[in-house]
Amino acid sequence: MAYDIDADYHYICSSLAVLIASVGGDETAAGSIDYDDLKTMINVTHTIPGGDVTPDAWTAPQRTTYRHA
Amino acid sequence: MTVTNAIDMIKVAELFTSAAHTSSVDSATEIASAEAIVTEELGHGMDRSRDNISYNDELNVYDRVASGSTSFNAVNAHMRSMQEMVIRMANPSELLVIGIPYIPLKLGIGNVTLSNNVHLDYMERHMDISGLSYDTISLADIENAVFPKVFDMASIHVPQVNHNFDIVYNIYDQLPVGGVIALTSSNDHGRVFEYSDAHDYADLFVTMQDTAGANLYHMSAGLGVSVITKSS
Repeated sequence: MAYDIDADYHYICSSLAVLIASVGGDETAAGSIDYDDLKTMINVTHTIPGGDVTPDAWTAPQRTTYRHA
Repeated sequence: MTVTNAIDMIKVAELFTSAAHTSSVDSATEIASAEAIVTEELGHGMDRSRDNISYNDELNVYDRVASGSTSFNAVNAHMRSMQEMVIRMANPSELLVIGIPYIPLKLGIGNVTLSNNVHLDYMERHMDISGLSYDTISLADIENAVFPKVFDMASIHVPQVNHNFDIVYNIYDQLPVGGVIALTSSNDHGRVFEYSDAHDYADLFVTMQDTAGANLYHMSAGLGVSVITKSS
């Protein structure tokens, strides 16, 4: 079998919907999410049980990699 | 060679490792494929600036291969050595691969099933897959514990499943006794050692440590490989 782009896209959107819903958003919007939305989501949702592990002042890439410049 | 740091130690380790361990994939070919993938992403308008993708493991893998970095190639090859060793030792009949699929697929051990993600797409369009056969499975099916067959081994690239570790737990649950999971790139480029139980990978490790019948081992060198075996 070969790569199925429709199935992959459906999975990605489903995963995004779970993420959106986890922060109180409208999970039905997952199919129309854009790049800026993604950056915002990464910035505000990258937490672990017990809370955010990075300082509030960190940028999105710093949060996603746990590495301050 | 004068051994001065961990990278040099890994280079020496690879020096004394079987020459065929990279599954006969020529590094120049790998670099060319990785360059084509990165060029394609840039052509789609992807913002690959450091400010946006930083050093995220999943977002930089092809960039790192394309760079031809001697140090990165050393740690990447060392991870492959450990991955290949575990696959050969387990000698699976049915191998499930979630990761950069080309290397374990090229080993030719067992029937191979690959996860349906962008890395499969890249492999099929940018690498020589002539003569290779495989099935595919969606991550959605794995999340729902819908498996078309019993896999006695899985090789899982942790950066591709850290959005939902249920993927790992469901694969473990369906393993037969004696089954094995190899977790590649399992130290998040060393950040697991820096953040310990505050790192999000800790959830995976602690859960598997607490799972009856599971044995978890972490080999820390380079990109890191963890191994889970199922004893009951």
